Amino acid sequence: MERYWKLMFTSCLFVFGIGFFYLHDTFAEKELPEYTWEKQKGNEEVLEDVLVQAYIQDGSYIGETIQIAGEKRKYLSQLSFLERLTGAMDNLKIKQLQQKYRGFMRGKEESTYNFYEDKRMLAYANVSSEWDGSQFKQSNFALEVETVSKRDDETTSFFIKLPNQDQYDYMDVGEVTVLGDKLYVLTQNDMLVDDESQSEMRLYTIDLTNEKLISEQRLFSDKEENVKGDREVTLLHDTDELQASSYIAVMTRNLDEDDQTKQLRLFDIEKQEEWSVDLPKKMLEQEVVAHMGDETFYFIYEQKGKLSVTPYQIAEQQLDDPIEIPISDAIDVNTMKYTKIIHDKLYLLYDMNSYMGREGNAPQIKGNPPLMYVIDLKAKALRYEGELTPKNKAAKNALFMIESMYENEQ
Amino acid sequence: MKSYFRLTEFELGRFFKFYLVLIGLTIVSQIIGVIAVSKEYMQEANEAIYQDGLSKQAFMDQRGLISLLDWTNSIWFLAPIALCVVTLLIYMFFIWYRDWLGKNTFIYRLLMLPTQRIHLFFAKATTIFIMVLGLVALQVFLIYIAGIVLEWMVPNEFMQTMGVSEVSVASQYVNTILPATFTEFVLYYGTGFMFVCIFFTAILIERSYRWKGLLFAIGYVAVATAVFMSLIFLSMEWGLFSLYPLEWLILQIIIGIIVTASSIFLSYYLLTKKITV
Amino acid sequence: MIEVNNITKKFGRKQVLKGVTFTAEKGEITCLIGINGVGKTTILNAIMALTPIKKGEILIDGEKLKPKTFNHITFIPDAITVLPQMTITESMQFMKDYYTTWNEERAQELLSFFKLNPEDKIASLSKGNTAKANLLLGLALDVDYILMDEPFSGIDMFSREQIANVFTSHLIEDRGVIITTHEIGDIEHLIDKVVLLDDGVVKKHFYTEEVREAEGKSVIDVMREEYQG
Repeated sequence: MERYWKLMFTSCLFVFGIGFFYLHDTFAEKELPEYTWEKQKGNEEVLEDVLVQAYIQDGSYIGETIQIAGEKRKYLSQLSFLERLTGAMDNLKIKQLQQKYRGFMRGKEESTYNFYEDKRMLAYANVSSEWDGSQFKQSNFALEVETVSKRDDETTSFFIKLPNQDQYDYMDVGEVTVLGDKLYVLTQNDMLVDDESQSEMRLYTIDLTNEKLISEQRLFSDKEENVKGDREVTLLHDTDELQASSYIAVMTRNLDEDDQTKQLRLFDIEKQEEWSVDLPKKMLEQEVVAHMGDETFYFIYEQKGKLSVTPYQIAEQQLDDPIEIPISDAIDVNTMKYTKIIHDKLYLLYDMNSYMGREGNAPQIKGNPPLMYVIDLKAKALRYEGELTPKNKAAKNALFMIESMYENEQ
Repeated sequence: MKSYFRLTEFELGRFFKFYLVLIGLTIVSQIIGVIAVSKEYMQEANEAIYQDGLSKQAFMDQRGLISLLDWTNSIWFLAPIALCVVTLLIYMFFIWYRDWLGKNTFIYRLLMLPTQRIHLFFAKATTIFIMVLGLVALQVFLIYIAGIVLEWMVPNEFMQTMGVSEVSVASQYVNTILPATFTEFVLYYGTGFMFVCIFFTAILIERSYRWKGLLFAIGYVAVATAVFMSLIFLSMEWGLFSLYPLEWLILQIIIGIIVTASSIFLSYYLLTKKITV
Repeated sequence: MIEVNNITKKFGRKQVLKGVTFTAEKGEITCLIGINGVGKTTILNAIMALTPIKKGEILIDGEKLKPKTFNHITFIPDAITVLPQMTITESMQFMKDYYTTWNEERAQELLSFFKLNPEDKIASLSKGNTAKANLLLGLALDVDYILMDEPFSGIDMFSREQIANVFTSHLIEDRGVIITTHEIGDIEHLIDKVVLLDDGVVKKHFYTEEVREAEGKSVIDVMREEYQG
């Protein structure tokens, strides 16, 4: 053996060094921050439907991302290379579709905005364009449409060259809806007019049977003739929902110093009508959660230990009686919150360390635990109230920053 | 098999003095580095606190805590790594050409050994590869030791303690040579081994056909690299087809194995049939 | 028997070997003779698979060369083939490590015969001693065939004598030897068979004994006839 000492020396150096590095896992020794839901009221079963994703910063150079669903925890640092590669923490809805429709989903944009699903079919639309180096902008915009029938797995796919391409420089899909044999694609189109950027929504109506574009409509623009300054247009929809309704809803807010009017505007795709929802100004200032699948808006307002959720039925054009729930005194209208409607229940998660609209308010390490309220919208009652409390030293010393709240599909 | 080990030991021996020098330089430079970086930090702290009248906390907020990352981003840490990389890259070529150089043409002896000539290829490849891995492993120990040295040098309140794995996750340089998971380590260095095989094959093409071979050799490197990268270009850049990440990984590994095997096979053919002294 | 059958070789556009055929038997010393650049070394390299040939084939005891064959045939090129930084002992150890046919006893015998100091580095040896060490490393193998490329060129007179003595000793007996030379004088009395090369082909091959007895000619006489006549 001593004849091979150089080979032995180098191999041992390698085996011990690399072995030490990969077997002696300092992450395992380093305590993982642990959190549990502390129930104050209700039943924690409802927490199994929701997935809270947060970023944990413990003052070291490496952050940790955690996903909490009921009793289950997933830590980014604990994922294997293959789990990371296959996106074990990615958008669950898309992952589910990829498993179910592997062929159809291949190469498709991983965004729920581009999909529509009902009992009959799964539909997809995306904007494709090419970079035109001579004009230094995107050109040749086209809609790529693909559907798969759930009955016979038959797929159709076609491209539609879009008209009036000189009117915009960039576009992106906001929503895809199928009503009857028509596919509607709502897009956000950006353009430069007199060196000022401008944005508007366009609705493309596509005949699925004949694979043809029926119409292109301009819907909501951030520049309106009768409005002095710009206005802000926000599309209201159920994020990561694949169904959509026959209504398109936007919240507009004028950005002029004297005129900050907010409006909730609706467009009925079937009737081809656009109108403004008639509501008191006070109501419009409240946070609105759209539940388009149910054609209902929920206005949310927190004040002096009380939360009120007021439903508005689009079809009836009327406000219902508010659901009122007592909440922590520490919550006010400016507390950062995350909302999600899952199975007719409204999930409200309050990040007790950050506030909307206030800057320079550096979050502190020893923060307050986030509070969760789950409200049954049908029974108009509180189903759960509780807080996510740090369970060990690592969690207590770390800053918990909520990133998002999803429906838990697993 | 025995002659493969003998040849590997022999090839290692031919470069071992230089290799120990590289190891020595790395140790010395990196240890001096951690001392220099912490001294500099403490000097800054002293100046700020005693001359400019800053409070400790204010200094820490302003300057940040010192950690091994200050060291891994310094020239003391990076220069010896760069030196080792360059030296071994050059030696990857020299390990073959040195046998043809000079009037003592050692290649005669090597080619006349009563063993499969491909063993020469494997012995030389193993030598390069194991020297690289040895240096990577050395880096693990040095990061560990540097952590201890840093603790001696700097009062703990100024210091952000980090384990070896944390350094590798936080520092992009360290991450390149020591990826976070063992799977990635195998993939990275597997790719490295493939490129050693490709370059060795190119050298043997040149050695077999000389001037004419030089063009073929460059061509071979280009083709092998293009084949290895083909998936990335076809699916990600040109979008001719698209793959799920796991499919991509599996195909990429298969392509890598094919390229490596072709290089070894071609080298086998050249060494037995085409090589010339 | 080593059979060289109709081998051809090109260097670039220059055709060096245009179909060379000869055989070398065990127990005989075969000498390849030709002017410099005629391709003598190339033939030896080709036999040892150190350079590819374009056409033809080479058989050693009826078989093509395999890695194992190197235990039965050895080639002593005109320069030494171990590393200059090795000592003679180290280079002997190197040979012993790889060749099953290494004969340590004979190696020691040769060492004392050539009066070499085993602790000397190869790089520090004189030209004559380097040649002797080179010869030692080849001859200490129990092989059937030995190929030698110009073993006498550029070496002092006394060394030449020592080396020449090897050929008449038991160290060579029973083996097949192919040696190349461009000056026949020193070794004429040693060789059994001559292969005359010219312009890439074998011009003539003959047994020295036969020519001497039948025609009363020396090798040099035959060469003169062939090359000048």
